Amino acid sequence: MADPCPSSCWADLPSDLLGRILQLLELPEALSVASVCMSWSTAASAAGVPRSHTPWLMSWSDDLLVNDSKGRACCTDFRSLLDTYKVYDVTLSRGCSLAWCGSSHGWLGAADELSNLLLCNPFTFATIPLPPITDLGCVEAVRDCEGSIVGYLPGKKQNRVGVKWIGRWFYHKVVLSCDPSQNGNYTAMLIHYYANQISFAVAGEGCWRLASTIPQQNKDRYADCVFHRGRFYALTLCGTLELCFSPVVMGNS
Amino acid sequence: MEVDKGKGEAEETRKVAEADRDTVTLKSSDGKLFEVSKEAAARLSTVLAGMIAGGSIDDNGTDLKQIGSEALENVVDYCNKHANSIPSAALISSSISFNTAPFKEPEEWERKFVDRLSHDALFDLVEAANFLGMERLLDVTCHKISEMMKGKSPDQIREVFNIKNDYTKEELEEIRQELAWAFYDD
Repeated sequence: MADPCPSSCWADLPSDLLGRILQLLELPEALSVASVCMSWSTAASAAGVPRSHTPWLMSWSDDLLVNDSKGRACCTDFRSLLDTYKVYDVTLSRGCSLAWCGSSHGWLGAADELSNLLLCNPFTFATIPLPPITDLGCVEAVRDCEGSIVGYLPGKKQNRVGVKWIGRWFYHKVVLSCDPSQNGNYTAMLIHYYANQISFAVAGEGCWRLASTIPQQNKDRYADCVFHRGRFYALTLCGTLELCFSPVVMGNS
Repeated sequence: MEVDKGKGEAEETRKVAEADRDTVTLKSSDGKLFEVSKEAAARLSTVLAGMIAGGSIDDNGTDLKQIGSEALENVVDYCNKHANSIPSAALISSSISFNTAPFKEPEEWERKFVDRLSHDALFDLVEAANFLGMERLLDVTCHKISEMMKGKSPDQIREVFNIKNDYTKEELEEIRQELAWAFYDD
């Protein structure tokens, strides 16, 4: 028998071996490993695992959908902007559909199977539902005789749209005022419909509030929105900058 | 397979090894002798392949001073099991370039082979595989280690591998804030 290995031997695992192990892990686990001890942290940095709040580029992986024991999950590739050749796998939580509408403070905006908007954290797999699509006023649910939603009517003169499909074009961009996991006091701003409406949802209120609308006959549309120094701003295609207050922001400032 | 039980037996082994050129004899850091198929050793270990090709194999037992007897026994065991269970062509080609070759999932018997090991034995085996340039055994052992890390927080990983948290309080707070978005427990 060789001498029993001292308890700390794993901390001295050669860095090329740890790098090899890290390649088999998904990004959230690789980040966990990187913060176990100082020598692993050094090895993880050498293996290209970014330690800090690096920006990430997300794309769908080649095998987009996998079926696991609990149902369907989406597979994505994450690339650090510091090393775009290195790809990390991240399997997103179930219930997220294939419609994405922005990322904010580390959270992704996604539409679920009923085309309701939710916030999804790709690293903790936590999800936070936002108020349902039917609360946005311009969308009406079509229900079967048992009350289940089988489709949506977007606007008065539109044809019925399938429950999954409306989420793929209806949401244009969502931004958050702060990280929802830091304190519950966040506000979500949403550009939706034909990119001509802006609504807000304040955490805990459970409803969308329509803040601004460009008439549909007008050719202009909302192009982008940001949260900056306590205020939400929206930019239109024709170059108009709108300052949009949210109730929480107004209350705090 | 362990061969050495005493001087007489070792002498016996040497004679057998000399007569039968299909095997090589390896000597662990603590002086124990192990016999392994020459073909399997050359196929699975780049280091042993180099030694065999270069004629630096000692019939009295090639010294592997970095590897303890328990780890060497596992290495030899793995080589012998491998010789009996897997066609070689795919593995030879996959060991040529580590960076581009896709990782192949361990076979059922390979999983069982590493599952039965204690944490210490696993550590010694992965180091031995690394030293001997055994790509496939590295794949199998590293896969096992990665399985032990999956779905765990930093604290849970420290517990599994018995690793001391050697960050200072300040550094820890810095990391916690940097990675706050990435962990459940915040």
